[in-house]
Amino acid sequence: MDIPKNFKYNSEHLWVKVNGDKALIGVTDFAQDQLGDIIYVDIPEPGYELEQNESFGTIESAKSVSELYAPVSGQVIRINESLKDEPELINEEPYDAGWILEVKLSNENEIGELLSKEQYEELLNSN
Amino acid sequence: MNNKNVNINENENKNKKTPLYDKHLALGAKIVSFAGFSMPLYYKSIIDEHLNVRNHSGLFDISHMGEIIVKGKDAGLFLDFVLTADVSSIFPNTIAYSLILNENGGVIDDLTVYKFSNESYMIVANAANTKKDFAWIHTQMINLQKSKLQDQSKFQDLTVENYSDKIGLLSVQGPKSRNIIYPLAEDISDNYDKSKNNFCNIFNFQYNIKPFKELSHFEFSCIKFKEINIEAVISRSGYTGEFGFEIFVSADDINKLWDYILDNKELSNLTPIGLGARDTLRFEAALPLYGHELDETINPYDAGLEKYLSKNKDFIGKEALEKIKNKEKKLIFFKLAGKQIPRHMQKILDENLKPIGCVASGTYSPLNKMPIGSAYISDSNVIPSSLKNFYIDIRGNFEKAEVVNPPFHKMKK
Repeated sequence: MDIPKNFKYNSEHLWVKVNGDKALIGVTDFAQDQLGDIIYVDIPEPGYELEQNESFGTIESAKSVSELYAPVSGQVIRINESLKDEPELINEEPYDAGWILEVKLSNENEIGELLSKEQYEELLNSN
Repeated sequence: MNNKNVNINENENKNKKTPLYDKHLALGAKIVSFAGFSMPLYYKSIIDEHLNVRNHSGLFDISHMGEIIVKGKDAGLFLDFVLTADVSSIFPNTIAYSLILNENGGVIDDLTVYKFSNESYMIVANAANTKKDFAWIHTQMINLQKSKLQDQSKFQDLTVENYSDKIGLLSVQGPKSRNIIYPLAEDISDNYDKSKNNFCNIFNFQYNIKPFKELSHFEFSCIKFKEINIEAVISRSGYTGEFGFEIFVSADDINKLWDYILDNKELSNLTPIGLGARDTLRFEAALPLYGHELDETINPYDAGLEKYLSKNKDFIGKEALEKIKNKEKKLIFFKLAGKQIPRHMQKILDENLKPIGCVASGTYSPLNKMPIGSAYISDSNVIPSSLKNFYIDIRGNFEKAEVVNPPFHKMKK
């Protein structure tokens, strides 16, 4: 299971890649593997305010629907338009072309509350 | 992530396993709980597996399904009373699709019946219903045998046995299925020793068996797999809308047969297929699934299955059905313009957003690359044949749907 070192994670299997006061958000390799073929991602448009630990959308595979829980708070500044036609990018490249959206962080302290690679790995192993 | 639709791994410890469970794990299958069994949902991808069956061929472990063997001189008479189809009058070595109804005409199960001879039949039942079916059939037998109204000689020469744990079942489906099954199997010769304790002797084959390469749809035969020397009953049947075979084999031999077929997978570009693709394949073919299109509150008219109700005989549920004048609900099929997938029990709304029914099955069609579904329209003011467009309440989003004629795998785009 791929878990990049320079990313942060929440316990709901989303990753965060921080770049200054902005952050990219996506789902982990573990999550995409659990979901199977992803068919549809329902996410808010730019301008929407994400609130940490609150649901901001759903991700749907052939067999199930799952909520997406925000790892950090912030305003959506960009969404991955490619997912509309190619949601399978999440299966293929969950940490890269399969990113979901980008936010402008409203509380940078929240980053410290997220899990490191090692902590996330531990979480997966404990289940 | 909060998974709403499948309870992955829940109850897995209490579940039964088919004899092939370790093979599924070794192939990296994602395991789910289905009908009390731990079954493979998919090995790599539902969509890839689905398309491989449509284009080439696939191998399914469906050993979770139930086999109930009914034997005796009175077996035909008895099954004709318990089942809706005329099973006693079909030719030996052919299959009938049938329903089994309760006294109210509700569907207890849908199943296939294999006729080996006038005195030997096998019922193949849905995994979730096997116990219920067996108990029901057994109770009917006891009641009929005790009934003072019946001729005392009737229903005495009759046995009903549940063979589900002793018989394994594989399915090979897809347009290239011949390419792998023909070279690996051979007919059992005419001088077959019927005194031996071989697998096919369970069924008391009686009449001339067709060479297996000449089987038509819903016919079956007895074969032997070369090299591994394993006997099997093979039928031209399936649950995918494709050409294919279903293969009954001793539960003790099924691991060897699974390996033998997979070792030769290049013959037909065959891959193992999980239950996820089994569901998308059956749904594109508009085949009903018990628990979705059928249950004990749905009668055969609702489900559009009246052609499986015999007019020539009496059967349990027939009296109740004759009193049903108007259809209570009607099954329709639809496709969606959007990308969200409709799910079982979501509300169907008319153009004024008034609820008129519920989703029966909803899935993604890998072939048409769009969400598709079926629904029961239960509002008596709606004339289903005039219904063209409606909405589905998918978690608060009203998604537009269009009524289509099934099956979806032959749909004009």
